[in-house]
Amino acid sequence: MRRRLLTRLLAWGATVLLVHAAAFLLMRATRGGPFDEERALDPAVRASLEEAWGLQGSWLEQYGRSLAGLLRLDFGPSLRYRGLAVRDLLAQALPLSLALGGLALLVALLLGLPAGLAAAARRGRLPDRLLRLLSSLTLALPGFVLAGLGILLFSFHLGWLPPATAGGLRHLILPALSLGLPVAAQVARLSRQAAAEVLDSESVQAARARGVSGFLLLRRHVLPRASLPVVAFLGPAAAGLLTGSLVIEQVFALPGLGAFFVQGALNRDYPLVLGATVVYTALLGALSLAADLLLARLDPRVRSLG
Amino acid sequence: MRLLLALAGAGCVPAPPPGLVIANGSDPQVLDPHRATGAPEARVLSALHAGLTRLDPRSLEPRPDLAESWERDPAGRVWTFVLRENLHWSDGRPLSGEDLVESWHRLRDPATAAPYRNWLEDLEELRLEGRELRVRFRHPRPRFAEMCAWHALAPLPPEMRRRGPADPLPPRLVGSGPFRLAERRIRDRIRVEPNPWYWDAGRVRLPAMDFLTVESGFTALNLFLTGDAHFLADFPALARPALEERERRRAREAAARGLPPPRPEYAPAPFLATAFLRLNCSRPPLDDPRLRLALALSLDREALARLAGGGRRPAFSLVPPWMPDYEPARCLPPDLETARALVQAVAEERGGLRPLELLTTGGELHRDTAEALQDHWRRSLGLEIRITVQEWKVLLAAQNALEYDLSRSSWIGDYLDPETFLEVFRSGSGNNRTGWADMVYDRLLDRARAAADAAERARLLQAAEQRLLDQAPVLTLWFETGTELVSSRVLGFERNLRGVVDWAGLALAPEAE
Repeated sequence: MRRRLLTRLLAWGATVLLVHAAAFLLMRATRGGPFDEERALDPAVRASLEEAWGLQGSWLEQYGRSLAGLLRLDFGPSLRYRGLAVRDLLAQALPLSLALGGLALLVALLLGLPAGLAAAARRGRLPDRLLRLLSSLTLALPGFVLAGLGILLFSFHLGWLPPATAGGLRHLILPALSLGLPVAAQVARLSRQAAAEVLDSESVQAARARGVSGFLLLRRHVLPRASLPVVAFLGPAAAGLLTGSLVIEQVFALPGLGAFFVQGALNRDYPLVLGATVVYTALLGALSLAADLLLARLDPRVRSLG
Repeated sequence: MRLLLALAGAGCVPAPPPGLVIANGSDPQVLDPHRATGAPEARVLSALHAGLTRLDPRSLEPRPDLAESWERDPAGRVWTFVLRENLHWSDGRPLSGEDLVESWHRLRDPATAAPYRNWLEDLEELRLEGRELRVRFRHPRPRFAEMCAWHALAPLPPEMRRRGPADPLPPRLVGSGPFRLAERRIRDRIRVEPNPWYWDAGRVRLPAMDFLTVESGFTALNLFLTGDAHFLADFPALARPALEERERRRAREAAARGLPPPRPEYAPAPFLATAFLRLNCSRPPLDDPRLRLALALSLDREALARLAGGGRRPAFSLVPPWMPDYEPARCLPPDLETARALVQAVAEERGGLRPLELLTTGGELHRDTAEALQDHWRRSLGLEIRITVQEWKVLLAAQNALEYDLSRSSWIGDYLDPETFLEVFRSGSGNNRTGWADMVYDRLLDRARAAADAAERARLLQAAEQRLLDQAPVLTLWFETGTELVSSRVLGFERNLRGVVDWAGLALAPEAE
């Protein structure tokens, strides 16, 4: 187990380095530079700027400087947000992105899991069919459409929630719902499927015959096995929530990581794009590793493979 | 869960203040007045920094700000400003004339990397005697008092003057304007509060202002419509019909209740900017002036302006018609027959014409315009146009490298003078990007620059503009409109050609029940 963990960690580090190199190459190969504006800069001014950001010299030298920065976890000063270090920008944006992703995950679990179990318990009847319809609908709608509908209802018609901007928990409700609902639909489908199988299994039939029922049956027999596919799904889902937040952050004007990524690329803010890419890659790796570890704890079959 | 709440709290700011909320577009690139260029930056910096003068929001005439008065020689070559006594920075330190002189030296230094460096390029003398600042230029600068209102010429405190382009910002940003920085949250908002040390602090009426970073136009519009923002710099073109309808409904409702017509929140007004196409004069076939002229003669600018909508007016000149004391030149009237004959002559000489590449960026307006032009030139002149949609920075790089045939462009004037448009196309100017280099044009601009007499100068500039229109390195399309959405609760707001806002003069009426 320990050896497997070590291998995973090494692979994680190598992935981060590879992604950093690829991002560096892609950014430089893209046409247009950070100092191209409608109002042209005079050559002396341009030269001062290139020197200030270390953009002189060959790509290889620049890559070397960028790599050295990465190892020190210092991505240098941002080109777009002048006077601010990329590290500080990321540190300021990360908590919000994590809070949004975490809330969305909570929405997904708190809505998806009970709905899935309830549907499994009443297979083929109205609650089951209703769930299937709702989950298909939610999965078919992209997050920004859900966001738009949410804004229309809660901000314009009811006036309960702000349509955009950051400012505390109230401002995160609509974004977290828009982001979390499609995942909740997936969680509901997975848990319904798994719970249905468990309910039909011989062990549950036997437990029922022994008179175990209701909450105890759910807790002892159904939940542990029905939640396995959900946990396996959580790693990629959490990763999807973090990367999927780009659009939602834009719609709700939230100062999270996502917009740094998109705007950074459009502005050719090389240090910021590299920093955001590395943070995303590292997060995704860490999340999928954490989900695997959790699964190994819950499922003896996975553990034995290690 | 507790962790989540703590994290959410980290992105939390105090409740909105009883002040003005501005949906300011993208986050300001830099809060250093010497290094900023964009409109979102200008809005914030004009609240935080005062210049020697400020612009009257109605007439755009310069009014005294840090300078109490000024004088100029008739040509506008020598200017003498008298600074106010007892000026202070927003943290209470005294602001001296030396600060201003040092700031201007910094602006001129190439190491500062200031985009407006050329404004002081031909400075011959900058001398401070007591409170009198004497400025002498090599060539007349008739609009210099107006230019002094722009943030690039504002004085900066010593700690800001020592910073290189990539250096970290000082921990506290200090200015001399009507407001001072209270809080900055990157990509979220910039909050400013009244500056008690501003010389005219009594004029400031708002308790606070929030400049929100809102990149999506639809998000900004949502904030405006729910009353969460009072001032919108721009909105998506798609929403225009709905906004026009909304204005009509507001007027009807007021009339039904016997009230006077409400002040419009959406009212497109003239703006000092021209939309045009750049033509690449450095490679065939558009290096041939006859073909460029044919394109110019075949344009139906009225139809294009109608297509663009939003109150835009056709541009028969490069310089917008609202410059004081200047009558713009005028391009030749449409003449399809001559245009066809010219195209045919060029095609015969060259043994046919290859398809022309028209560069444009994404966005409804630009795409529609490109398609309309493509269709029009195919039908009227038999020319084939290929549209290439590029991301903005890629398009700029292609323009700079002269790798295009036609390219969408626009230019916003810096001050109310024709030269702010005409200097763009001087040979070798970094903004030219057409490969057009014309001795006659350059000489006319040189002579206008040296002219001491205002009427003579205007005549020379007009001749230069006529030369530009006849040689057609650019095809003018329409004059832009200002599209601010301003809540009727905002008092004291004036729409003007340059989008200048006198923040100190604004107030916010209480919310109507």
